[in-house]
Order: sequence, then structure tokens, then C-alpha cells
Amino acid sequence: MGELQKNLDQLATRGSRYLRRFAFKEAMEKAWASVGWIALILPAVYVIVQIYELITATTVWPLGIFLTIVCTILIPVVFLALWALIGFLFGHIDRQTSLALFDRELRLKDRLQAADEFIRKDQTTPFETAAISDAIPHAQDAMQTRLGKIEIARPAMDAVKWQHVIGALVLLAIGVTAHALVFEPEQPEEDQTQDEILLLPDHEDAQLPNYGEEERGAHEAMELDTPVPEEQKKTKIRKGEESLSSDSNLTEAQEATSTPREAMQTGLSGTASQQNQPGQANSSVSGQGDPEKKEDQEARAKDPSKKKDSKKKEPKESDKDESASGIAGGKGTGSGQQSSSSEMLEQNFRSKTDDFDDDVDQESDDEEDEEQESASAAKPMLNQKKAPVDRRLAPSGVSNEENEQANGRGGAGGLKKTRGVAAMLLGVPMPDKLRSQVNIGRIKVQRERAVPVPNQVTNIESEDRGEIDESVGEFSRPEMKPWLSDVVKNYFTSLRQESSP
Amino acid sequence: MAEQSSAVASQAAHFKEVFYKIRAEVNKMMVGQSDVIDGVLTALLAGGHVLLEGVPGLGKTMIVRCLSDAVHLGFSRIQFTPDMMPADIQGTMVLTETEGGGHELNFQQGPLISNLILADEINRATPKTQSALLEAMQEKQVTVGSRTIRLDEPYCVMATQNPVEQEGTYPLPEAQLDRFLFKLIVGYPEEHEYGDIVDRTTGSEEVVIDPVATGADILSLREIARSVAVPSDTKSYAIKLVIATQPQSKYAPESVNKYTLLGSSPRGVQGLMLAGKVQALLNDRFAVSTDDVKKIAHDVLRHRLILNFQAQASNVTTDTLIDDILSHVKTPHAVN
Repeated sequence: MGELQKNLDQLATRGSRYLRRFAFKEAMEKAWASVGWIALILPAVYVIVQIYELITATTVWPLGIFLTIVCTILIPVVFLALWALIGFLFGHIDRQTSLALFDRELRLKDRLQAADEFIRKDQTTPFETAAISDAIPHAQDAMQTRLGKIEIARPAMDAVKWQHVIGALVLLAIGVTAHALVFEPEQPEEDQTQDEILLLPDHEDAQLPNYGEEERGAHEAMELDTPVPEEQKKTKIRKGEESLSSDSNLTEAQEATSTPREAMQTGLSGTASQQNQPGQANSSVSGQGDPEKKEDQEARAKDPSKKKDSKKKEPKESDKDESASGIAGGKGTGSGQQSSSSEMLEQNFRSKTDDFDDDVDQESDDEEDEEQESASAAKPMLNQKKAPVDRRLAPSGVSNEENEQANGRGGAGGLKKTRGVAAMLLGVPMPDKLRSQVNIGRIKVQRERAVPVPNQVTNIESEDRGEIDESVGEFSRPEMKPWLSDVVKNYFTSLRQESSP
Repeated sequence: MAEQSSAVASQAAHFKEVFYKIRAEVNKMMVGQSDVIDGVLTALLAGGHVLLEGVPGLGKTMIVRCLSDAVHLGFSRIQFTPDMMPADIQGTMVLTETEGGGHELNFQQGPLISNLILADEINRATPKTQSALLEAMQEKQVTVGSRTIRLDEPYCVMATQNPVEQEGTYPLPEAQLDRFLFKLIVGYPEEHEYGDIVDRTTGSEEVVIDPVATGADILSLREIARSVAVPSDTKSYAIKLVIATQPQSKYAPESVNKYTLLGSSPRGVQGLMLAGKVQALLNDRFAVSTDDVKKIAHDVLRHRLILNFQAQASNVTTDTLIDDILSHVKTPHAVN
């Protein structure tokens, strides 16, 4: 027994040494389970810091974006490698696993494992003792066995929490986006000055873009020649009517479009009241859109926050521009893009002239947004609005040609909506639950009084049947055995005796 | 310790000897079907019941008849039919005449009260009659009216059923299927076995099967089998296998989740252990190994898995699912 114990210990040690690779695999499999969480840590911290920076407008995060991304990938990898290394160097191999190695190698059908388990018991059954004894020669054989190379499968990656990894990537993306919002590149001083020069009417050093005569002519021609679809024109005109307050503005816009440069100059040198007229402002710069637009785009490229704002405004502005260009288009003058640039210029100009106050600018933008919403978004699908539904019920079979929806229903689709008793009746015919059987409807029971009528009975007198001429035939009488006939005879005799007094 | 070991070794040797003697007697008549014969004998010595499934003419009934001759046990055969009633197999009260000319009700025992029962074409009986077997198979007793009759040990029900002729049959309920230790599939014989079958069954020489074991022998062999040691790893492996048959369980492979309606009950583990012990003894070991469990897993678990409609539509059988389970559930301390 002692020898077996010693042999099993030695085998376990040998197996444990041999199975370092298995320990490595096991360590990897354990590490895979934690990799997801580890990967989440840095992006989560990064996002929190970025939000903090966004709120406080300070710089706390020490790493750049690239370095952050690299670290996000590198930390789980390093963790995995370290864990696997520790597992490989110090990993503990189960004793039974080591012995199982020899059991498999020598095809011992778990004899060594079973013996190792039973030998540790305080009390063993006879069969357990026999199993221990049985393992002794096999353990000696195993001591002299050289283990062959075993195939160890690659670490299973089932434990990887991929949702955490994806979450880490998403967090990283959010952090990077937040970083872009916080650290938007500041505009160079020169550009800002140039903008101010361009937009400030009182600035003495203002330099307007100087078009050449040919260039200007071509530009005007392009504006005039731009074809506008007929329907679009109508729509634009209608929208223009909504957006513009009076026809005078339209006229002014037309005039301004025809002489853009003059209008520009007028716009720049004009009074605040003149500038506040949108029609005028729109049209005043529509003619000289391109150079201004370039500058505007440059300014937008330099200032991402402005870019975002402008992006937000784009759809609304385009509506507004459409109205402006619609006016121009109706008269055959401007285009949408040019109007858009003029609109922006006008906005900038107006805002700059109002003491360059950003807050006020924001407010004015908001007001404009509200105005635009009231013009377009507050009543969506206005043009598609249909006539109200006629709730009067037309007699069946008579179609209401004037209003197709005059079907008595509350609106398109849905169930029939009626009032009164009609609502309580089943509108939809339901099939009978029993097939091939028509519903007979309500059964009405009516009581009637009836007078009993006595039955008419006729008496029939009995008649004599007369004599039977022929024999009735033979009655079958089973022949009884003597003892049975005696039994029957005795039975009836005794019965008679009992009944007789 | 050496004495104890040698005594156990002699018991194990005796077990093996009797087993192979019975098998040799059965093989006098039966040609081939060695797996089925081994399975039937294993179930008999493990104390379980056997369900034999196969098409007609493969010798299902013959195996059981030969076995009953070889072990010298009380044998009764019940041919199940749709009009059979529980009283027909359990027994009933019959009015009999006494010597003095009087009459009294006596219990006339049915064919169920014997040692070795051949329930031929069990799926032809109605569920009512099939259920009459439940008590006999599990509790080894029969209750008729207020009378409960304890059945003699060894008691073994060997039922046969035909998987093809399903018209006019009543599939066995799960409760009854669960009571069978093994479900053995009887297949067609090999080509070289046909010649022997012809010689033995159509020749003039009569095959005589000698009884080589008694009921007491069988009982002692059962005791030996139950004494076989079970290592904890093997036990946990058997438990994992049974849990793996249950859909949505921890160890269930995807195929089981997809195709199984009902998995094995704890009777499955009992079956794996008992049959595994017999296997260990037959392989000259005193402890059950995982290989023993693997070897009998199909026979023990086959009828305990109830497949869903999707499995039937996809031609997925319980055997394929058990193969999946065996490959999915790792043996203890596997390094690869």
C-alpha cells in the first residue's frame, strides 16, 4: 500500500511537470473570461474623463487619441499574456489529471485514478481494497513508462465576453467623439481677423472680394440661366409668400439680385433696420455668393463647432433659402445655393453688428429656428391635408362621389365607428361555430292554451281461440344423469315438505 | 487486505464465469446478436428490465426463451393484444367449488407472476394493460383488489416491440419506458451468420439448452455486481451525461436543446451505474471506469430521451443525440 502511494505521488509529480502546457491552456481559458472586463476599463475611464472635460472645459486626460486607442488594445493583451505566463510557470495541475495521463497512456481504464481516490479513504469496501491491489502492478508499469507527446487543444475562447469587447470599442468611439467636441481646433488669429474685416461694416480695413468684370458677368449669367422646374417654382413662390412679409421685399430682392455688388455694398453700409429685412438681406448678397461661400466654408472648416451648428441649421436654412431662391427663381434671378450663402452672410453680418455678442447671436439663431419651424415644421403635410371626413352615412349602394371618405367612419382605416343602437350590433358577420349549420337566430317560445281532447276508444270483445288441431311438437328435454335427477327430485321433495304444514 | 482482495477477485471471477456460461448456452440456439445477448444478460444481472426492439423474425422472442431455459427460472410469456385487460396478466378472483360442495372466491394468478416475463409485442396492448406492468416492474409486486402479491426475485420483464408495424399499436408511456434499464436494438444478422441459422433451425438435430444457473445464483451475482466500487469522477461523469440529456441544462449540447422534448430522469444515472458495474466485472476490474459508462450509455439512455417533432422531421435519432452528448461532455481530467 505504501509503495503504491509512493508510486502514485511520483507519477502525479511527473504528470504535473509534463502538463505545463495544459496549465498554460487552462490559464488562458480563465483569462479569456476576464479579458472583456479588462478591455472595458480604459475606455470607460476615458469616456468619463472626456465628459468631465466637456463640462469643465479643462484638460485632464494625459494621453492622445492614438495612444489611448493603442492602450485600449494593449492592456487586455498584456493581461492575457501575463496571466498565461503565470499559469505556465506556477500553474497547479490537479493530481487526478496527472494520473489520468498515465491511465490513458497505458489504457488502464482509470485504475490509477480510482486507486488514488480509494487509498485516501479511512475505510474501504472489499471492492475498493481490491481496486487498490489491482492498481499496484499497473502503477509500477507506469513508473517505467515514458509519456508520448500529447495533443493539447488550443484554449477555448468560449469564455470571452464579446459584448464587453464591443462595449469597449463603443466607449472608445464615444470618448474620441467627446474629445473632438472638447478639443476643437481654435481658429487662427488671422482668419478671425479676416472674418471680422469682412463682416464688420464699420471696420475701416474691410476688404471685400473684388470680382473682375468678366467673372462677375459670368456669375450673373449663371444665375440667370439656371433653369428651375415649373412646379418647384410654384412651391418656392408659395413658400416665399409665407416667409416674406410683403411684395416690396420681393421687388427689392429682385433688384438686389440684378445688382449684387451694389447690394452688397448697400448691405454692408446700410442701417440696422435695412439689414433686418430678410428679403432684402437675402437678395442683396445672392449675386456674389461664390467668394463669400468659399470664405464661409473655410471658416466652417476651421471651426468645427460652427460647422456643427451650421449643419443643424442647414435643413432649415435650405427651406429659407428655397423661399429666397424661389423668389429669385420665379423672376429668373437667383439660385438656392447662392441664396444660402447670402443668408449665412446676412446672419453673420447681423449678429456682428449687434455688438458681436455670442449670446445674443445664439438667441437670434434660436428665434430664427422657431420662426422656421412655425413656417414649415409646425404644420407638416399641410399641402396634403385632405377634406374632413363626412360622418354622415350614405345609404348602401349609393356612392358619394364628392367625398370618397364619406363612409361614416371616423377616419381612414380602423373599425367602423357608429353611435347608438347600431354600435351594439355585430358589424362583422361571424361564421357559425358549427360548420354546415346556419344560425337559426333567436328562438321565440310562445305559449298557447290548448283544450284537452279525450281519446276515442273502441271496445273489442274477446273471442274463443278454438282448439289446436296439430301437435305442438317435441319439447327438448335434456337427459339428466341419474345422480342429477336424484338431486333434483330430492330438492323438490324437500321443498314441498317444507312448504306443507 | 490480500485475503479480502483475493475473495473479491474470486467473486468477480465467479460472476464472469456464470455470465459466460449462460451466454454460451444461449448461443447454442442463437446465432450472432452477441451485443443483444450481452445486453440482456447484463440487465438480468444488474436487476433491470429490457426492452427489445426489432422487426419480426430476428429472434427477439427466441433470445428470451433461451435465456429462461439457461437460467432455470420460472418463465411466462404474454402475447399482448389490444383487447387484453389488466386482469388477464395480473390475475383475478375466480369462483371455485370447494370440496364440501361450497363455493369461494380464489385468486387465480396471471402470467405476470413469475420470474422471467416475456412481454411479446408489448406495444399492442392498450395503455391500461401496459400500466398494469408498472407496479410489477418497479415495486416487484402486483396488487389486485385488496390483495398485494410480492413477486419472487429474480424478477425480470423482457418486452419486445416492433418499430415498423405501428398501426394498431399504443406507444409505451414515458413512465413505463423509464422503468426499462436497457432498450436494445435487434438488427439483422451478418451474411455469414445466415448459414448457421439455417442449419440450426431447419436441421434434424434438436438443440437442447441446459440450465447453468438458478435463481439463487442470479441473486448472488446481483449482489456481487452491486458491490463494485464507483470512483467519484466516474459518478460525476455519469451524472453529467444524464443532465446533458435534459434540454436547456448546463451540459446539454446544442442538438439536445434543439431536438429533445424530455431528457432522462435520475433512473438514467441508476441504470448507468448498475450496468457500468456489470461491465467493470466483465472487464476484470473492481471499480467502474468512465469507459464502462460510455459503453452502456446508448443502451441505457436511448429510450429515456423523448424527441420533439423537429427531430422526427429531421430524422434525428436518440442515438445520434447520445453520440453528441458523449462527445460534448468531457471525461473527467481530460487534458485535450
